[in-house]
Amino acid sequence: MGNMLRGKAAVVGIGQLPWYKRGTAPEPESKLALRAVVAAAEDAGMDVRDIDGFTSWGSERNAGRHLMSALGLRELRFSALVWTHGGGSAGAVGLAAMAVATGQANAVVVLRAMAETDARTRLSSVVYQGAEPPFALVHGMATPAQGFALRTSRELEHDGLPSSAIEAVVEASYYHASRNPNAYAHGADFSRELYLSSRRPAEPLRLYDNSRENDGAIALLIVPAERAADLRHKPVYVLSSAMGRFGGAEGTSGETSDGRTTAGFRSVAGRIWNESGYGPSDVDTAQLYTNVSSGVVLALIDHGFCTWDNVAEFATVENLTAPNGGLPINTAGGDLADGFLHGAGNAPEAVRQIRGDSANQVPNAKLALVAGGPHDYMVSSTLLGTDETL
Amino acid sequence: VKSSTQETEVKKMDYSFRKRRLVGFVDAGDEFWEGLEEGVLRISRCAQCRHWIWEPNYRCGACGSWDIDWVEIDPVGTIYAWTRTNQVFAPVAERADEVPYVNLHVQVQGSTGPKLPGLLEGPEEGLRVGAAVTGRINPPSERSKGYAYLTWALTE
Repeated sequence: MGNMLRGKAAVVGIGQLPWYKRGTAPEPESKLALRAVVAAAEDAGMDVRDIDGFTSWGSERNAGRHLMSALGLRELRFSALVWTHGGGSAGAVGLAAMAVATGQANAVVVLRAMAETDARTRLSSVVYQGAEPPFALVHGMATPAQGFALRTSRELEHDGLPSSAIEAVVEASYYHASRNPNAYAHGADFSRELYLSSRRPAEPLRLYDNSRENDGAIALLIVPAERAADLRHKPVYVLSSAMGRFGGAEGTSGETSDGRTTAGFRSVAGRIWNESGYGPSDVDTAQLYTNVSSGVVLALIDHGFCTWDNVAEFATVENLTAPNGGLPINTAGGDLADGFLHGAGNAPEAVRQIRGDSANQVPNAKLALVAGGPHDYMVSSTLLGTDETL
Repeated sequence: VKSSTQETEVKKMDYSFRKRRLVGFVDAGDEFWEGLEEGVLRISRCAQCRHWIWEPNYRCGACGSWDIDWVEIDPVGTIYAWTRTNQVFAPVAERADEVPYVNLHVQVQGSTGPKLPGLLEGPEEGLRVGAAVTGRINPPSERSKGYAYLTWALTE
């Protein structure tokens, strides 16, 4: 038990539309979703009508049943959402892989589409939610920016999180975006000085520590491994995928029995390494969900890339940057600077790295980690690899 | 019996928060909000194993008991985490004139106790994780969406 998913499914198609500033998409959300799905099928060299399943996470509105008639699908066999917000983004890839690995479906799309052009269509996920929402709302707390800032104060002042590590995540993300023509922040006038002098919507974090939603749509097409070999691109195999949450913590607090905060990945990461047979030192690049920058640093610690003792040495701009860093992260620019559809851009960038066509290619990348939702109520991770890693 | 039940129902509806309830995923904290409106800080504890149950819920995950006590405590604790809000966020625009304001998570009843929410009031000097605070209960208002709420002041 434990490795039943390993290598059974592969990502074969990416359908990714341009990023738009939130609220400015030129087309309705559902139409963006259709375009992304069609683009993913074209990228794979597959007939779009052969798609028979959809997965997503959180508050995604574009369910398969709304898309299937316009796509001309022959049959819908699988349609499922991973609970929670961005924490489910990597798990939705695993869920699609499970569906095709078990024969429930033959071609499953992981989909995220968002066009908040109308105030009424603003996703519920922008509002701080929880078991008991008035705890936050009656006291003036309403947004993830505030909730994550609260967490970050604990990490900085109690746990010993170095602010240099947070800063390195932001700088590495914007550096990669500056070299990725498809990134929303490509050409942005970003500098360390700008970062340090930027306003602080919710302290202790700065503006550039926070992801900001875009409009857009992204689809990833996943098929059984045996089918992947016949398609257009080099298959990118799902080696392991896990979602979950550790026991014993209240609310969104990440306090653990050893007193330091976790981003929530410790158990999930252990399962990823167990199921894949690989460990953190084998990974060539990591695409780490970035609601706020501090969560990424904790995700690095939780996954075992570094420890609380050496995080300041590990999480530097040089080490987190392609092509020469030890662990280049968020190589398209990530959720901070590539674009933010609640983490949907991370898995496609991992796929591009394994295919070898990233704008910030890590030389000879064979293993890429995708992580969803540090600090979320539940988190997930997925490890992707080349055929050599099987 | 029937009339006393009706009386209880009427009395319950007198609580301000019940008139405009903010719904979440568990919603087991009514006694907390009722307590605040009565001017008392009450938090939930398992009646059987005395394990704090926080955030509020319907069953003790430690021992399996469904019996939950609401225990009155003194509003004193230490800052577990804080954030200062420097801009108006639309869903809580009622507090626009208070910006910037500081929110706290306050650890009460020692290191294994609950962490309570609230706003910092008074001087900010000494604001840091670990600092001691004393709480105050404020009546329901428009700015607190019809709920009674907590403010905390630094005590060192």
